[in-house]
Amino acid sequence: MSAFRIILVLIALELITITLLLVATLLTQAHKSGSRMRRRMELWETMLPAALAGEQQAVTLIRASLRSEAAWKAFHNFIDENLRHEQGDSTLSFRRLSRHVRLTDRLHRQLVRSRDPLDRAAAARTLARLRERVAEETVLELLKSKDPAVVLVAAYATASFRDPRQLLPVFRAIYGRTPITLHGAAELLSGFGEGVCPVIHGLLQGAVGQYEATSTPGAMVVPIGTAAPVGTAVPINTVAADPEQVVDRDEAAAQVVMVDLLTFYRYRPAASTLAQLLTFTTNEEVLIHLVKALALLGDASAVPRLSELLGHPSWVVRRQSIQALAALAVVEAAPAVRALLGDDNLMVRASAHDTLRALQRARARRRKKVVEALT
Amino acid sequence: MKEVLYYLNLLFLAYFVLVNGFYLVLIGLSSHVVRRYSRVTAMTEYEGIFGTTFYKPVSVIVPAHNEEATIVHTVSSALSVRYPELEVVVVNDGSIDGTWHELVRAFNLVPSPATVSYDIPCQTVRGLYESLTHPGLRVVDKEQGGKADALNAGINASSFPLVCNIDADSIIDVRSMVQITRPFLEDHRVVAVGGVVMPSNGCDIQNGEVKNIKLARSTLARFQTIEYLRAFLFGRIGWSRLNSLMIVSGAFAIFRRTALVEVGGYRTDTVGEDMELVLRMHRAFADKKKPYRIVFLPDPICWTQVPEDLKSLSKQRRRWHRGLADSLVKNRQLCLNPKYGGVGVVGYPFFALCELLSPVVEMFGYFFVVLAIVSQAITWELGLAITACSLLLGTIMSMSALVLEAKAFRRYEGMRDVVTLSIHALLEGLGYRQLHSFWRCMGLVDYLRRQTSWGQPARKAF
Repeated sequence: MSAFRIILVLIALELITITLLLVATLLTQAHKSGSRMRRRMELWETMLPAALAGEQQAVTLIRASLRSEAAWKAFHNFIDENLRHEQGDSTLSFRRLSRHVRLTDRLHRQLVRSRDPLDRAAAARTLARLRERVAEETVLELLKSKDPAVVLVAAYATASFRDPRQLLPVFRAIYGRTPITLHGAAELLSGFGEGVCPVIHGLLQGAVGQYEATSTPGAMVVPIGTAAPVGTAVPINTVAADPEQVVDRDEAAAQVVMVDLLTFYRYRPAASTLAQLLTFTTNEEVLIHLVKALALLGDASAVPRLSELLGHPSWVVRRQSIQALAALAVVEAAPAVRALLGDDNLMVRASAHDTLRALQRARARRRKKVVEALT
Repeated sequence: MKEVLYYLNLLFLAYFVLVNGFYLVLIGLSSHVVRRYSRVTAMTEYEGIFGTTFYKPVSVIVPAHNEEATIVHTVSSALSVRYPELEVVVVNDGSIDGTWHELVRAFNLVPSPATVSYDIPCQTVRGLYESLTHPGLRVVDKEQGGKADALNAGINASSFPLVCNIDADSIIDVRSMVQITRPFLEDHRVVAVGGVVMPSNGCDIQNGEVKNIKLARSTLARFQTIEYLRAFLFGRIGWSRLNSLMIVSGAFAIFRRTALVEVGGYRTDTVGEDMELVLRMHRAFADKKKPYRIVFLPDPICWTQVPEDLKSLSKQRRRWHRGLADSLVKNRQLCLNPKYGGVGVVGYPFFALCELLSPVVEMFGYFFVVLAIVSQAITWELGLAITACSLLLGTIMSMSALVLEAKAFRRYEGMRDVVTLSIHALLEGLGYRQLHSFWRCMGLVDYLRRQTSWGQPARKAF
């Protein structure tokens, strides 16, 4: 065949491809803005309040609109979208509606049978938001996936069940199987809700206990969240001088996330534990988060250590400590803060400047109170 | 001679088929990535971040040199972006028009007691100002040093861990910041993220926010819309998937501040500072064996004014191609070096052969086809067929970009806009593409003649 003919064939093929692409574009556009789908969405939006209230007619109408696969998918997205900001009783109404229209059954089938992990994760997420505990086990299985995206979605789903016992498995899964940052992990775990704070507090108390234990030769160290094995104590005389050595990267990361969560929920009962932890830890990342937490939770027992940290080599720690002293209104720290007006770092100087002004105001308030009390 | 011309023409055709074939592979890859990305993002709670403290604060840097027509809108747009903690650092790079007065008038600027640390060398900062009406706004007034120098000054003045650069004629979509910062939370290795840039011409813009997305009226801007769709939806997504992203657009990119400081910020002796920075990051982190990722996301969007007259467009495209050549030459150590992974082995050679040289090959191709027809080395039918073949391959890519846009994002909602864009995708090969190749060739000539000027395009108010 001559070159000319080959090229003509190529051109013909290209023209066909272009036509197909053009048709595909128009069809996609038409489908997405299709009047049928738009009408369905309008129907769901109108009927949703009545259906959530349990009106049978509304439920039947919604059920009747779910004839095609596309309609089911759209309804799944619709329910998921509406569930995002729902909590408590309203979630129960959504659960009832989903069961009535058989969305729950479909999602459960999708969760168990689908070969696509993302499909399973999508189903898991909605079922978790509906608090369908039947899905919990499969969701936990998804945490073992090799795909980081699936692990993250499964972690979100697990958090939706708000079971404090799952906090550590989820943390280990996301921290070990995805490249997530501490910020990301804390944000994700905040989905567990406030009920998780006592559990975290207990774990951090355990950590403080371990730090104390390492000061005693012959003490045993176990990672956070792990029960100490009875009768198999391993002497660790070598770390007695440096408690920080018992904290590896994962341990420090766990501490940071836990401190952040306690701060986020403003869990004041943990303040004294955090102050104790501050005296032991030398890990810079943990220090920064602890100082920030103590500034917000307000625990005066941390003041001596905070004053010490004004001389820390890291400027971030110095700045955080200054800000914490300002937040705690520790007027006595003013001379130490004034010394930092000549710090090498601009941010530290700026913070010292602001803090001194805040401390002056605090001192004035205190004087006024004393004068008022005397008169 | 005739035989040489015959085979030369077939060689040009083979080059186009190969280049476009690789692009077709990128299309396949991008389609897969976009599909997966859409599914994953549908399951991600972006808005959840507003209820927590677990975000990374962002400094938005807006370099401005003689931008009086657009600066107030751009800054207002940056300030109206939805994000829990954000500061806007405007760098007035020695403007001699009314940019400074516009800023002072619109934002009530007063001198700030703070000082700037010179983490990255830059021209002298004349003063730092803050706004009485907008607490999140800081303005750096400095000696003129060019866009890269202004960005370096902005990085120095910024105080947050993430730094977002936008052009002074660009508007960030209000939801984009939450989306573009997400990879920094989900992956500790991420050092830079690029977003999509689209033409704002024709859009309905109110108070620095794009309210209604519409297609531009000018034909030239519509051709550029197709080009932007093709470049962002195929090229960058595909390269990002291969972990070989060579460029994140200077008009909308976000970086980890420490990474920027570590590599020494932007180079001031190039006009392609955005691409040069990314290539240097690849080199620096690979040399230090530090795990890193440079990512492109197809979702976060920034709207920018594109030129609507041939003169401004020609200047812009010549500058871009000059920047491409300069960046590749300045980072030639990457070329075919397995130490740098995909960037060295695939990305760099592809950009050198298929991006840098493609306009030259294309122009020579047209010339030799005509020469071969005139000298009767090939029949005119064959010549026409070869030209048509290479042009149609380009059209396939443009159409594929439109399909992907319609399927995954549907930014242009109206059927009329889609039809108009499709018609422009078909017409693009008849004149615009050749003109574009000519400008890029001239850009290469400019580079060889060591031309360094920027050529400020004329801005229109939004």
